[in-house]
Amino acid sequence: MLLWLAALILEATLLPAFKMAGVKADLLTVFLTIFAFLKGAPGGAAAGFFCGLLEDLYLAKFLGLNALIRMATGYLVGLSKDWLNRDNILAPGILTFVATVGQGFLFLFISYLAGFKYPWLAGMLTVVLPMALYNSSLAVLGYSIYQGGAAWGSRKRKTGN
Amino acid sequence: MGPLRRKLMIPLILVLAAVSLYFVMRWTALERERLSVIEGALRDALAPVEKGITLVVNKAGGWLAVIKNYSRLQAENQALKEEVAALRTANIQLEEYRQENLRLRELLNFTEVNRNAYDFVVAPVIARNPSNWYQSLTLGLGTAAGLQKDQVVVTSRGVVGRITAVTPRTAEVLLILDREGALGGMIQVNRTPGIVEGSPDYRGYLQMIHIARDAPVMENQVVVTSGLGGIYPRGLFLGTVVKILPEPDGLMKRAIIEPSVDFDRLEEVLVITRVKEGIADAVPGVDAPLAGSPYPGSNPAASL
Repeated sequence: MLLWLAALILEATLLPAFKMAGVKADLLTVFLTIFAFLKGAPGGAAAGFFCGLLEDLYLAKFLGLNALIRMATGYLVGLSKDWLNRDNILAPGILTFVATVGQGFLFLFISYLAGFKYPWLAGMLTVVLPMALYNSSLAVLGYSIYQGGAAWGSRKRKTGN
Repeated sequence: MGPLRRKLMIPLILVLAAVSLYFVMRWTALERERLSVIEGALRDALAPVEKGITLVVNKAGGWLAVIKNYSRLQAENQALKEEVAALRTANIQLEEYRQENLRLRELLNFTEVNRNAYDFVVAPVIARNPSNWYQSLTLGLGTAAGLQKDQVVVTSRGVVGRITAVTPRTAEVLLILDREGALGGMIQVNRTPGIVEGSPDYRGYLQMIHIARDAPVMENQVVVTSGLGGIYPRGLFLGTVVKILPEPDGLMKRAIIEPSVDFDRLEEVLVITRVKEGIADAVPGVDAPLAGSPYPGSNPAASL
């Protein structure tokens, strides 16, 4: 809960100062992808639904749109848990890239149905693609830090025993 | 030599020595032109040794003082470091105040110039929209400060957007960069009207769409609000045309506009809470201002 809230607040306050190619990083997607990759489809779907709903409540717009999109993202990314090596640092990066592109496509499609008409090609080229590259870089970095921390914790436990 | 003579010899030598020393003493008591050879030789011979010993003593004294004062110097050093850190922090804070002062002075100048046209409230920007799809920001003032939905938000540089949602302590401002933040604009110099909205392909830029192909729209022309639509007063600065592009249908064209406001660096903004009676249009060449017409965002309480 606190992690998602912190990510949302960072996106609203700190991350606009670190725009790249005109877009901010989507920390929620980065965290969700790593979480779903580690926990699997059911956990990923639940986390996606929860953080999406939190985002919808914060944005106060198209309530449920992000909950739906992120739930689908969490579920689909979570399916990769069984057939991707967890030691592969690049895996979360690639998954985040694909997840961001998929989320962008879903967002444009569902919001189009809901009345938010954003030009498709411009949306994909100027928002989704730069965001996917930015997010996937952060995912690789974040997952490396996570793995480093996990290895350190494991060593510490062994030494303690 | 007999024993008696030997006994007298010693006192005699001592007396002679004493007398000699007395005369030597008398001779050397006065200031002399030069030292004797023996005195000079002795002094010259001892000089390097004295020099070396004095140097060592001085150095050792310094080192001893360092060792003796080490703990005091350490504490002093620590205190000075803390003082430097505190001064550095204070300096950064002062720089912040200086910059805030400049920004507020700029806003104040703008409000002074427009005091007959509008009532303003200065509001701080506290957050931005976390999503990349929407362009909005959150102000740290709400209905408690007199802010209402559809009030226009500006800076001294131009239009920022309009309030779309408001709580007692916050207000959400939809930026003119947003796809849903479209407003009426016109080229200032020749009054060519058009709809101004956020450009989807030129991110961070505005675009004026549906301009007739033969309309006299060129680069570097200034774009201002047209007042059409009833929310934005006429004559507020929007930006400058940087590019003209033909529309795919071939009949119309669009102008890419660089906004006058840097939306990524907004810290304080002005909310127009009331449009006063009889304002003159800020755009030269227009005689009939829209002044006085209360737009949806005008504060009813303020107009009483």
